[in-house]
Amino acid sequence: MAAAGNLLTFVSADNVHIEVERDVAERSLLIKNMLEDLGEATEDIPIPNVNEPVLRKVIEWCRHHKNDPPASTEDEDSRRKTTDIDEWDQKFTQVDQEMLFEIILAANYLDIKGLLDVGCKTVANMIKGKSPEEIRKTFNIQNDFTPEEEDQIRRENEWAEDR
Amino acid sequence: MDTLPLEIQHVIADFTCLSTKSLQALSQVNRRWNQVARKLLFQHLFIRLCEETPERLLPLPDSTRVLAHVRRLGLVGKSLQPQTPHPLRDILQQDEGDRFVPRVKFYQGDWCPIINLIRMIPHLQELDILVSDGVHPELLQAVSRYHPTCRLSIFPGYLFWRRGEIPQKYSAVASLLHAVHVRCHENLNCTVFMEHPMRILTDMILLAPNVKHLAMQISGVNAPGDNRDYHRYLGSNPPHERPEGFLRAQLESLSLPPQTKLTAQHFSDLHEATDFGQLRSWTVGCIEDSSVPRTIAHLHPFRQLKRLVLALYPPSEDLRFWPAVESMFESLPPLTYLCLLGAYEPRFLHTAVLRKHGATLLVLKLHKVVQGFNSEEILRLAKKGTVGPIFSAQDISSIAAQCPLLRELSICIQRSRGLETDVYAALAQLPSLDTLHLVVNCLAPMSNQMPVPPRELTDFEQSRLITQWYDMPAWFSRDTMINCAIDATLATAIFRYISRHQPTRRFLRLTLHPLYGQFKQYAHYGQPRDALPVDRELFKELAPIWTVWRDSTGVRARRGRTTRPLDRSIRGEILQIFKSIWPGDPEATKWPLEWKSWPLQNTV
Repeated sequence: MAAAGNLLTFVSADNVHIEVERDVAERSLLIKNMLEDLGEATEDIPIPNVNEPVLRKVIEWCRHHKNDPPASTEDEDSRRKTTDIDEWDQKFTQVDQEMLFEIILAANYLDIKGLLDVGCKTVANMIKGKSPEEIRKTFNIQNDFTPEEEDQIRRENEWAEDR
Repeated sequence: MDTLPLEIQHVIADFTCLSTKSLQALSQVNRRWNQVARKLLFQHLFIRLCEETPERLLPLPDSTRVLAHVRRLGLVGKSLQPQTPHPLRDILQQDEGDRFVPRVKFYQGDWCPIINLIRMIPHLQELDILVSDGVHPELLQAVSRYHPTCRLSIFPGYLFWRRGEIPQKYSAVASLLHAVHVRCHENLNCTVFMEHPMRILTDMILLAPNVKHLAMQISGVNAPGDNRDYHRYLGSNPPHERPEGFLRAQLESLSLPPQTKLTAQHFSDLHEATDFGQLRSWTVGCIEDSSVPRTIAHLHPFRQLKRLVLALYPPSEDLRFWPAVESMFESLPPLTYLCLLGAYEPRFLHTAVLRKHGATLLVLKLHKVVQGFNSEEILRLAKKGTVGPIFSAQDISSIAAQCPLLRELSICIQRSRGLETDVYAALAQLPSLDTLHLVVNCLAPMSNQMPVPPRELTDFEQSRLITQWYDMPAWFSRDTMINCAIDATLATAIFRYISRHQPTRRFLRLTLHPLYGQFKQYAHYGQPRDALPVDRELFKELAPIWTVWRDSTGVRARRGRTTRPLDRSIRGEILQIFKSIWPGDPEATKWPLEWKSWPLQNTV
């Protein structure tokens, strides 16, 4: 059953109904555009790719950031130049890796640029300062290079490096 | 992470690319990440031209794996100043208004491998050339032939006295010129430029019809400067006639030297040569009479302007100056970036500038510090009166009330033995502030007549008082010294204080720049150039720049590197001062010494 007034109802992939304020939901460009097209939401809104725990985390982020000013082009440029994350977002992203990647995927699907950036910055910060082997270990990635390929990549990187 | 969609992996790699080493590591993780990282890793190739360059370039890599990704190429001579605070690659990527380019060496090696490389890159979109005396003509021909739509950025130096590089060398590729950053020179002990050497720029606009970014800097040199030769050049080179059908340049950014003056005539000349309607970023230089702001307010030429950098120095007895400047700000479109320097009252900022622009500002810079090679700029501004005002807690509260979106602020405040917490609390009122560059004036305020805690200067301090003949009291020297002895604990405490008091908790990064009389800024006593209460080498040890930021491990503080190491021979004397100020410190022999300033007092 769709919620009344200023409340919307999301239905997660695991069929849980979650009520959310419209201004919070509109942090998602996907939802905002959909609501603009529909006028008023009379039906529940299915979020088929996102399960309940992840959807609740996403809504938590949107609620905290609901009054953020819209990002301008200049803002976008300056945000790109740093991997700094503010205190609240840092605490928000202190979750296990699986949840972090689920949040990133949900932010991408729901088109929530700010959340996508926070998630990707967190992963970038986890990569920073690590060797290839340490990155593989951190994220459980298989090395599928042959020794010859590894050698070639090292030489290419060396060639292109600033001197 | 390996199974994330490719577009998300690209976003992650894009943030990782802030560190080349991390991106290199990512490229070596597995095939999929190599595919993602390689595009970013090779998109900007940067070649430092020196004797070994040809040898290094000769074994060209597989062009499909490396060169196919190159979109931007930088050819840069070696810096003449080896201790460059920013790598040249970073300097090239800075915005025009913030950029100060160091002097670079000549390149006398073989150009063939470099020309061959340019020929081999299939999709070159941008080429930056920063080499003294320019590049070989054949290289420019190769660019013109193989990359006819490439955007070319050059950094020509006007070394008139030794017949150095002049931009006409680039006439073969004039139509490709996208950005030109002219470097002039002056010797502070000889005649200096008082006004912008504007003819160089108007000539450049005639030479390069498609130029979008035009900048000029004036650096200090120990050789003869360009000023006299520039005037000779003006005498022997009458202005070029504009060709028939001349179309005004469509500049997007124009950056003039911050320390020289813009006249109404300059503005008219530029207005005739440029359509200001397209300009998004403008570094004006100094406005020192009311005719310039009046002309701007009258012509109302800006439609796209977002970034503005200027310094205001009012002439004495011109009552029309401030109303004219106010009208000028009123005539501008809403700004997102403002750097306002000079001799104005903080109240003028609130009432005449922020009223119109406060609501849209993202970056506000109200002071400028020495970074890299711009010390002469700061000295020249300081000599005109002041680099910028000192702002009180009340002033900052007014800024906070008018700037809801402001994310980055540079501002000067007064340090007062830790009692200045009201200032930090006021800074915390800026709801969107995440980056703060705090210039902290540590010269003791004249109202503090007694040193706290009581202590006399050591014999060594007394002997090093370079300004004792100006009747500088001993307490003033030692108060200043303790004020600026900012350690990691204090730097972190200031960061935490602001962060804790900011309701939105957006605060991310703080840099602290202690001032102790450099260039006589806010000095009560003084020497011709600086007004340091004690020798400079003491302050190098005592008052470094601090950066404090928050990452996933918590709040971290980094002490800035001093440009020259401390002279070991005076360590003993410095230790004596240290022990006399903090006698109970058991770690007093550990180097570098942990100088401690007055802690923050909880007054708010």
